[in-house]
Amino acid sequence: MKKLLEISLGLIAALGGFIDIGDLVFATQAGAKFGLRLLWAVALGTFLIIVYSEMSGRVAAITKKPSFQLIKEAFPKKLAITALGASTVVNLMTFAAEIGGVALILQLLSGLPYRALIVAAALAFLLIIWLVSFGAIEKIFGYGGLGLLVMAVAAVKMKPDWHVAANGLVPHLGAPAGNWTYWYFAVGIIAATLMPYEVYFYSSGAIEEKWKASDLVTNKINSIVGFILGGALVAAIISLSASVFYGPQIEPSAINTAALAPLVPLGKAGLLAALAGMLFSIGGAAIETCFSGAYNIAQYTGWRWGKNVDPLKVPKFTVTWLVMLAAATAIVLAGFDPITITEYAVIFSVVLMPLTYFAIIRTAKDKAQMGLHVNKPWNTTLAWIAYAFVCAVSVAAVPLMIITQRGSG
Amino acid sequence: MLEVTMAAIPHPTRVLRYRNWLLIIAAAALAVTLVAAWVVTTHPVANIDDAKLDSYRKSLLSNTREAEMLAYQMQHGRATGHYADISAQNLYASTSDTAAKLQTETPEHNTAQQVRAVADTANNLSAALADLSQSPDQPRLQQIIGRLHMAEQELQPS
Repeated sequence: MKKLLEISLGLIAALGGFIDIGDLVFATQAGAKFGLRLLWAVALGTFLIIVYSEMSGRVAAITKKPSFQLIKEAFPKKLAITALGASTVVNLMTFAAEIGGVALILQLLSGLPYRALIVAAALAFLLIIWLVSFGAIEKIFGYGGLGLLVMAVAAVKMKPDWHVAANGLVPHLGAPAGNWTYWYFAVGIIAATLMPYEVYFYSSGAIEEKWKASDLVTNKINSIVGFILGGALVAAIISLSASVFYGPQIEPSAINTAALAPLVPLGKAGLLAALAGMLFSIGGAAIETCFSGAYNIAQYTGWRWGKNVDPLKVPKFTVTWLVMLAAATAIVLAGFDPITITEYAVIFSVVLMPLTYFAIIRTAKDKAQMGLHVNKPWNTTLAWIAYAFVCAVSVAAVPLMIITQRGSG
Repeated sequence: MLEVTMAAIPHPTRVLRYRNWLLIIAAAALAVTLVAAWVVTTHPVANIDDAKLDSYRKSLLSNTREAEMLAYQMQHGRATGHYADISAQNLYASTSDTAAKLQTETPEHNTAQQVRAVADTANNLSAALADLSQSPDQPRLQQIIGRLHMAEQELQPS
């Protein structure tokens, strides 16, 4: 039973960590613009996140060091502070986008004013983070997020061309590869899958849950099965979007359009399940980014931290996430569009990837710290291959964003 | 085991070799991202040339087809009321924004007539979407669908 619960953590991490507003935005737009031609980007992103989440979970379980502590140890002070500043900005942007996304979905469900729902969502997050235990948060949002499985049901019901889907698992070097927008969305999908906050949260969560060497099997199952499930769901969203929007050349630019996709084949039940799934997935991701922001700052500064500790006993950590919540709420209340913030946050986050993932590899292959659980040679080879992709994405992301004017070119 | 895992961390010189490059790359990417964000959000208003007009037309056509899809779902009682109203409001906001640009931006000489035609269609489309966001009854909905079809035909590339 305990093992089963631990494995469910994998599902939760897959949905809460994988499907966030960034995945929804990029996957829906990619399917509408390019049909099934970008499925390979989901497969590549899934491979990369599996490699790094497995390593970060293993490192956290053995060394008891979360990702940001590794960054602090791996780099000189100036570079580590730069990484901290950049990660805080990205976490804040992502958190703001997720709060806005939750408010938009609540508006679609209730018809109430958007700004009032932003405030209501922020208050709900405050109460949930303060009062609900770490384990309960994971279960509530993880299981609620399973509503998004309706996207997979709808995708299958639309009878996708499996031959074309298989073709989409290979990058197209011919047309439309000459189209910069195609590569922008490829990078966006990979970046959204690989958002560094997911690794920060995953490794910090492993420490919160007091993982040890005996938990490494669970870590492996969580990373491989959980994230493959998450990747399959992103692929289903692309496939569904391709079936519904690609033919009539509809360009989805809002969350309600993403929900229109399951509505077409499944009617009202599909719409409501999708909206509920989005609400919990984006809500779960919002809490993860809030914690990631506070974790990073606390881990860098050496403050006591932890969701499983009484908030009043870790006052600096508590104030940090409260400030994150207030600042993110203020950003969306100021009128910034959550979808636009998401696109910037996803692309901006790639800047952090090389720093974050280098620190993880460095520790995972260090026998002095990892002992018997040090990387095997094939682990390290795989990690460096993955690192080459991460660096390529990191270098390409910002120029592509400029050239394509955020994918509209 | 514990002693091994908690051992002092060596400071590999290899890392130091990469640090300046990583610092430069991170700082450059940060700066480029911020500048790009500024450029994209404050892009100066340009004249409407053929490419820009085509981009507006495509955006309007996308909104029209999405509205038709939504209206069809409403006609068959498949969408919830709040979802339909808010979706139509979003489409209205996006369409009227494009309509406003078509009226305020200056068309280049060779596009003036086409810009006027697309602007008229955009205005008609905005009105239809405003009606769609008011929970219309079935006869009214049928009429709105007719107006959407007309807008779609007008926006088709010639």
